[in-house]
Amino acid sequence: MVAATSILEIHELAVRFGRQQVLRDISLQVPRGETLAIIGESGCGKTVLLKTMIGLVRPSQGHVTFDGNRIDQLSDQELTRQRIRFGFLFQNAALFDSMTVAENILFPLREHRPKELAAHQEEMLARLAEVGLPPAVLSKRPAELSGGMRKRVGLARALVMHPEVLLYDEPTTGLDPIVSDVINELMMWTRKQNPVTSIIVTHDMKSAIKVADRIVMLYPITRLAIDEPQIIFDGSPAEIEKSKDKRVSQFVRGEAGDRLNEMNEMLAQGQG
Amino acid sequence: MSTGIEYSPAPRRGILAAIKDPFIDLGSLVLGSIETLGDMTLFVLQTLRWLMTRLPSRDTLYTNMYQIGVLSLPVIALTGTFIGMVLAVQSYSQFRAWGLETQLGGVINRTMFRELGPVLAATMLAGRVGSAMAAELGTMRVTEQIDALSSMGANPIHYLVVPRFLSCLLLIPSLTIMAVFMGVVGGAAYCVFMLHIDVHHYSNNAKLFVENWDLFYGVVKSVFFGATIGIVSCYRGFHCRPGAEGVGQAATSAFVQSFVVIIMIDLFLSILLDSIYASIWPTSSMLING
Repeated sequence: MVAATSILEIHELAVRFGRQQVLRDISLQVPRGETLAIIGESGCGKTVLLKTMIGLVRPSQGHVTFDGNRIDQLSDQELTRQRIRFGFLFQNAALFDSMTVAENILFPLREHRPKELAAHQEEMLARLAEVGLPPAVLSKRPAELSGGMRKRVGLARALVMHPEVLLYDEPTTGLDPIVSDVINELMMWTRKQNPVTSIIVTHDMKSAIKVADRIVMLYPITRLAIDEPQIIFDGSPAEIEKSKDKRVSQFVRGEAGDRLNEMNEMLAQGQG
Repeated sequence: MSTGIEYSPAPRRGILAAIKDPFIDLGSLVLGSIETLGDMTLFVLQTLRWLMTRLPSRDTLYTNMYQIGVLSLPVIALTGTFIGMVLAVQSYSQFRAWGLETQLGGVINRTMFRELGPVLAATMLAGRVGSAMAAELGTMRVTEQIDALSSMGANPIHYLVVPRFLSCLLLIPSLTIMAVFMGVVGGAAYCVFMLHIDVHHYSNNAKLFVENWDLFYGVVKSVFFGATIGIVSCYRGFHCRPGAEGVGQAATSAFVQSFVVIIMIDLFLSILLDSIYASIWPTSSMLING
């Protein structure tokens, strides 16, 4: 039932870099139009999972299906066609240093619709207005912008091709609480304006609870027993706040718990 | 609460284990080298495939050509001039002892055309441009700009590597010719004005020892050197490790590896081109005179 309306499906996915296993046996379905937040502590593989969805990271096992197409089986040309249907907001926006803000936003249009030059300017200004930035920033270089502005330019660039799926990697990390909330509001506004499916990787619980319809929590493999699943929570924002799993509630409340003692033990054993 | 991670002190190691270590290190070094070579071969094939199927846009290509070619011209001209003069200084005393100082032009010019011109231009290009390309691409890798390109459906090899590779390939012959020309001028100027060698004899001997083949010889070598710089530098940038240290290492290794490969290719090309010359002109006076 869920699979029939899913735009993105992840089947028994595993990712390994050399000897280091990052993801193990991940299965997820993302229904069309849903806003899914993937949470978890640093290093648990959230960003790797997001990059695997768009084919930037190759899975060691399992596969990702986007709108019925297996991402790992697509030819280069077909993968390019599918990637245009995604918008990706990177953690530090990943704007091209050598280009101005205007050139950054126009990049996907120039690359994929070179013959519609007349419409580019209009499209760029519309997206810039959507993220609440004045046209004065267009001639600036990314280095001249604040963190929040860079994120907003990154969002404008991600939106310019009218994607069906928006992937956000830590959209509020490194921003002050007010700008963080501006980004949250923008994500919600974007969803209202465009019929997009959004997947947000974050460890900002406030952001996840405010923006998401559904939250999935990943746990680092190094902290799990061999037979334990890596997804330790999959439910609504209301459910996560009531979760009785200690690992989930510890993360939701942002408590260190035994971690400091564990770190001291590790240090002592390392020195011994 | 169990963390799932077990920590135990390192066990005591015996003599056999200690003997085993160097072999394990050697094995992993060999495997790592084979892996890098395979990876680089795939990188070259991908670059060539994109080069054949879709050329980069004019804007991107011209920007890279300007950075790689035009901005390298002054430094290559300057070093070329000085190398020509240094050759004159170093050879003069030995040639004078045999009364052959008027023949200095032949030695300087032939060395510049065949060896020093191409190698000097390639070394300067690897130092000035190769390291900068590796650092730039490395920074783009670290700051996820290369991932951003891919996520927007633009192929990073096509967009970033092909224009740089093509610029190195197309412009290094011109830079080599400039290095050779300035070396020849520098050497001649030093011999004539500082060592007071007769211009007429100097120029006659200089012409005698250099022919069109020598120019072709240097230019052919330079094309291979340019391709090496383009590929090695872009590869190092694309495989940059995270952080400022990773970017620094990528820039350094781009220069060092390019230079090592250039010197190795130089030897093989010299042997190959000399064999070709000997098979085409077996009775040439150049073969007899060296």
